Amino acid sequence: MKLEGKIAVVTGATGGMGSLACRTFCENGAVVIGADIDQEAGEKLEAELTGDGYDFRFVPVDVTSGDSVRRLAATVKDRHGHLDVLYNNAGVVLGKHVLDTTEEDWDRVHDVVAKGTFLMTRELAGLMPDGSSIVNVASAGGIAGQAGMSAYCSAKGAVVLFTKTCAIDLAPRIRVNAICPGAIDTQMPRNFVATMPDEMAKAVWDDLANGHLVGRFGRPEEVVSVGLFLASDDASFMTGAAVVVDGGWTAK
Amino acid sequence: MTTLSGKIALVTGAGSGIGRKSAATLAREGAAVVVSDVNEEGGRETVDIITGAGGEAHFIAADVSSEEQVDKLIAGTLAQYGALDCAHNNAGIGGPLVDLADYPTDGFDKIISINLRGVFLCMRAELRHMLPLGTGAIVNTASTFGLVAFPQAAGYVATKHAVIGLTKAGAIESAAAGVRINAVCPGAILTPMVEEQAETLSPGAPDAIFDVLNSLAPIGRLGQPQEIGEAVAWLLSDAASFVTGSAMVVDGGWTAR
Repeated sequence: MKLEGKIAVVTGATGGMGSLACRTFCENGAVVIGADIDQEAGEKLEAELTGDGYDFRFVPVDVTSGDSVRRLAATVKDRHGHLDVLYNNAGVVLGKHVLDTTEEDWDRVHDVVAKGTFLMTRELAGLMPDGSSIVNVASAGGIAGQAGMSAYCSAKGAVVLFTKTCAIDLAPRIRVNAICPGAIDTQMPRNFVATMPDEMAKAVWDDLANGHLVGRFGRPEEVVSVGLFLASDDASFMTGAAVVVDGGWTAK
Repeated sequence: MTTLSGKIALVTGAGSGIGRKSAATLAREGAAVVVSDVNEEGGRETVDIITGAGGEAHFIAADVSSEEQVDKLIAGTLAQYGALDCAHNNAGIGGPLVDLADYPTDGFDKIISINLRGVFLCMRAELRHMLPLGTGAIVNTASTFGLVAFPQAAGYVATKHAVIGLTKAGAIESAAAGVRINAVCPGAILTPMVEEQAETLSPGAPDAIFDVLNSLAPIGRLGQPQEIGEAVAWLLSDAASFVTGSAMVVDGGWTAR
């Protein structure tokens, strides 16, 4: 029970990695507030986790809206008075050649990934006491470029340096670290290739798998295990780190 | 719930500091640990600490710069426990604390032989055992000095950069076979090595050095060996099954700025 008695907020709570993070944090003794823009999926997740006996509450949140994030912060403050773990996991993916990327595409990706992480951090850090932890889910694409993903990699790169800067600004009270996953087998990449012609989808999928030295996609639990470690007191000397969980993608 | 139950682990440089805490943490997580060090007294003390806490450990003396002794260390591990699942190649020295222009050749050769050749010899012997079995995990102790430089430590900085290179080179060759290799990069950690260096640089008043070290990282303090031990135990466990070829920084934010 690495998070016994801790209060945790997870954004993007209904996605593949987010919902597993919610469950894993609950299993490790945390009280978890799951935030997501998808109300229906959020309520379903709440029913599942509370049905299993966990202390989990869903709160609908649009991380791109300061007002929405401030309402979440007020809810956390009213209910719990403080926050120990902030897990900024909400994100969107976009695969488009840079010359085909529209202003709307660019803004959407940066709003959710970069601005969302900023707003969550700014509005919730005030509730976080000494020894608390912020974990930002960035990407291996925030360290190395990927074909056809300029907006995504740019936004994830922003999260990596935002993490390092916040680690300095918020030290020594709050530890701030990033996780940089490779391609993880969740609905997100499946939806991503589903928009492509079949043959291309297969080629892109295989390319992604083979981009990892281990020749496969990562599994959500392989990312959440890092999140759990960084959120816990076991990582008490870690701050400003970007932990790569990419099956060796960026080692080559 | 322990994360390394039934595993056999080897830790070099386990007679003090980070290696000792790593060995104890791996044992706490259920591994049987071969404690190795060139310093027999320190190594046996680590074994006593582990067995005193109810863990399983066995001491094998080895100078990691000796090919013969490293090969004997691996053979001895297999003879004692019949397996080698996890290895923490941690043995290292700080070397001379002088400017590069004044750095003695013998001091340079010595730090290369332990910090770089030693890690190479250990990795090679470990991989020769692990690769045919298609499983295993290795962590090498690099340093923030594997990522950035610091004055009056050219040999240390160079060898720790090299350890990260060795880690990545080994990782890309071994990933498909199922062996993961990562480096851990500790920042300033309160170990006997660092205490000794502080005394050398500021005789009788090591606190002057500790003040500098405390201010290096945004977290405002030195790290404890245990805080590296936890990272090593995590990297060696199956929880890190998608992590290979990485240099994991545990430095209180030192290299974030």
